[in-house]
Amino acid sequence: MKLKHSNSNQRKQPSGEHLLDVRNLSVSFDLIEGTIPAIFRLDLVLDQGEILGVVGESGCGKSVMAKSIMRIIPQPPGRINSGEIFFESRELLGLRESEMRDIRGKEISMIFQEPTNSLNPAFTIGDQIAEVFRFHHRLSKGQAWSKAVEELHRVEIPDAEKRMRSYPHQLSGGMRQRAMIAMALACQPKMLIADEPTTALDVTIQAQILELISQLKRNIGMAVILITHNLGVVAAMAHRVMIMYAGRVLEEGPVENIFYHNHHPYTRGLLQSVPRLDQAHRELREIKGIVPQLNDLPGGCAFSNRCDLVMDICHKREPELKPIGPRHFSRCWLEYEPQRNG
Amino acid sequence: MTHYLIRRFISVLLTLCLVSILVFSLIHLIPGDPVLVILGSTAEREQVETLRNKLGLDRPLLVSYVSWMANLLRGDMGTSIITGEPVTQMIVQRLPATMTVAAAALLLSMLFSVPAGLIASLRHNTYIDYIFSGLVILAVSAPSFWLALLFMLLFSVKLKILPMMGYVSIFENFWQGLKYLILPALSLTFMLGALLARMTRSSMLEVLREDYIITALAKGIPYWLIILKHALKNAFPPVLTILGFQIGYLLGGTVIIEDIYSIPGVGRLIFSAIVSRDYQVVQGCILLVTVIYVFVYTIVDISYVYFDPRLSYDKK
Amino acid sequence: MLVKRFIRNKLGVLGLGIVLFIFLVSLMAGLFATHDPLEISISNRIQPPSRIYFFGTDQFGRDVYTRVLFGSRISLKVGIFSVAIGAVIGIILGSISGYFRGWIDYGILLIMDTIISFPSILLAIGLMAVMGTGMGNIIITLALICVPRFGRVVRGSVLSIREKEYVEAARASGSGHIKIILTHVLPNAMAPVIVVATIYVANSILIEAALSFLGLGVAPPAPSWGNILSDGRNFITQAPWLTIFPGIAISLMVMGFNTLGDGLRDLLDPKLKQ
Repeated sequence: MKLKHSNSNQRKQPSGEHLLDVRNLSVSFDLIEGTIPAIFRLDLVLDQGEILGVVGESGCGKSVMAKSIMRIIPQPPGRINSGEIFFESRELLGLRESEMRDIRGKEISMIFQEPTNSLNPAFTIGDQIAEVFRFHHRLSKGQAWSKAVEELHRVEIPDAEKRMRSYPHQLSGGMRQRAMIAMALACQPKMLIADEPTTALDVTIQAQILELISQLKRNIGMAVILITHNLGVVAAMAHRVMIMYAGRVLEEGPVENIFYHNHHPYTRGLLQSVPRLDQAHRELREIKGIVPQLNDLPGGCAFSNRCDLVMDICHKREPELKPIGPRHFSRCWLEYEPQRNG
Repeated sequence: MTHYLIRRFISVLLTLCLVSILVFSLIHLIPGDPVLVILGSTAEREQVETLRNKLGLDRPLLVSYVSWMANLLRGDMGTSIITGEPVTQMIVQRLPATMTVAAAALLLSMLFSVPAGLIASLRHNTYIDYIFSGLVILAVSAPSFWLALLFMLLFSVKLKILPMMGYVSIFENFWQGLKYLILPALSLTFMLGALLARMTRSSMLEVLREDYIITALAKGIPYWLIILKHALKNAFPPVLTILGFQIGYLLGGTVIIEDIYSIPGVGRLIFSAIVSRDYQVVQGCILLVTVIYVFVYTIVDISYVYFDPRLSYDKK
Repeated sequence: MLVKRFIRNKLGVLGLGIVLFIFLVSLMAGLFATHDPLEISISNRIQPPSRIYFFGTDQFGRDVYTRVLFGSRISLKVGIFSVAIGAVIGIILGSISGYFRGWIDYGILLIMDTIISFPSILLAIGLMAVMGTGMGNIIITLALICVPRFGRVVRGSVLSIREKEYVEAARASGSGHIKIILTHVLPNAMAPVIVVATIYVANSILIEAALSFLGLGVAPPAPSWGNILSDGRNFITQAPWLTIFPGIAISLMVMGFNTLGDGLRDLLDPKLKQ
């Protein structure tokens, strides 16, 4: 099947139809070593109730993207060079800080990877959760406290009343993450950004936390950007998947397509490097080479120096993100042959 | 929590006991015959015998220690060899002045240094930060007694707006007392404030890099609250440590400052007692200094737990 | 390589510059001086700064500028020698304490902590009152004050170093304790020692000035800066220059050693830097 080389902008529906519509986002960091381009012309859409899995290796820009949407990148040394972020048809990058503050924690929330240090050790978790209510809903101390107890119940922390007075270091990793989730979901945001929420947890706890997120998402009806490097998590949770590499989106599409009808060699490489129980004797194939430094990318396609199917043009020109199916895009010069792989 | 306090109390008691033994045996450490050292080698026999008896040097060590301790617990620290006054009374009379100056210095330094350090940490690597560092270096290098003299020169001699010497208690006459208080307190504030400010700055810089600050941002908490609530509480313990260490500086500094400004405080007492070999007074003062130390350290220790709950009271 | 890094640290370079300047001045005090530091000239007493007497004269007609110059020798001698002696003893005690642990550690630590917990000034005053004034006694006193501080620092380093693999390896291969301490432990413990040494020099200079100011230090007519300040105090209204200049000198010297110490700290332990 030949695909049409269409301009990537054509995939965009007018803003207002998506919950989140990120266009042409470029972010860089001015460090002593030089200016590092962390995100390069990234587009992203998220609809109500959707779970978008964002996958990529360390340093691919997943966290930077998340923090850019929340506008909590320290600027300096960070710099948002271009782009627009539409959230419910409001453009976030143009908002005043005070307006953005109203959105953070209330309409868009974020949870982080390492709850050990992501919760303030000097205050009780009750205090930290209640704080959200006091600020966004202007509740009194007492009211905020009781609502916070409710939240702890919702995330299934046993003995919630007592736990309110606990300090983060007195809780286990799983419980701390639950507390973080309680804090993030307290105001029932329309969108949750989860930055590697289960990476630092034990496997059994991981499943619990993911289940919790699913459940709460269903209850509130929110959309989730789920950032992870774990493909298993993505398979279990996401509707759509976005594969990132070196600050770019390499492939993006419905989860079925990404796993079974994927296109980009990087995607294929990622999937093949995951050990699978149902293919016990298959060889583990690694992607040759290492992730390049962001300020030292190969010319042309960013993946060209590690790709098995590299062609001449890959070294010369970077491909655009092209549609290769319904809501399925890939940034690659290869022809698309939809077979079942995996 | 009570467990912890009881254990603390016992260790404090033990420390004080140890120190009392040390202080008591101090007189035996003086080279030569202490009595002759005190009175001079031409003293009359009668004087020598009286003093020897008073200092308990004619009895076996243990006996005199026990009787000394007994007296101590009754509040009797002996009498001055020079003036004959009871030592306890001498100390108690002079304590308020010293405490007032020290407290004023402490307050002033906290008032200036914590905000200054905070601002410097927020304006990291800007010219404000560099000015800050420069001021800190200057303040730390200038000897407090020199500053005292300079202040005296400027405010009392040249400008004539503040009294040169003397002391009026602020509890008797507030405004007058303040006039006598400000220069001595200021002399001690420079060094103390500089160290506190520097530590506040570096501590804040570290705390602002922590993950929980980003979390607070993501919650939509306004920046000023993040600084004053989330960051400051975590940044405070090292500042507290500096405070604890600097009590020694304050106590030592009062000796010279009180001398310069003619403040009737404990510092002057210690100095004159040491020089005139008024042994009982020296003993009493050393004990006082130690008690203050232990007291301050204990309070600092306990307050750590408030700022950093990870240091639990009861070790699990 | 280390030198290059040091140069990048402006603070340290400034400190080094000031310290070297002061060393130079004190060494060549005779060259820079305009008068004899002890020469009395009653007809010229209490003269404000002029072209003849750069910093003015004191109540005995002595040239303050010359006295300040020669005073640098006293401060430097006291500072350097007391810290040197204190460092040597402190290093020995600290390494024994940290290396052997157990009762020895406990005992040495107790003594060190007791001395440290006492305000240095008070301790110094007490010791000088008992021993009598004079430079030798000052050096002994200040060395005593330095010993436990060096001891604590060294002990800390030794405690962490002794757990390292190369020490275990040396022990396993049968090296004697002293050899291990001298060849493996100490060289790696030196970095913080050097840093605090500069700071203690600054401290010692301050304490010596304070002692002399109180009359318990170097005896007059020696031109210790503390002595000059003490004179200045008695004539504060008539001769403010007696107060101003020696104080600037003290501050300068203290500042030099402090910033040198800061620079060395940034150099030797970049982890501590912001």
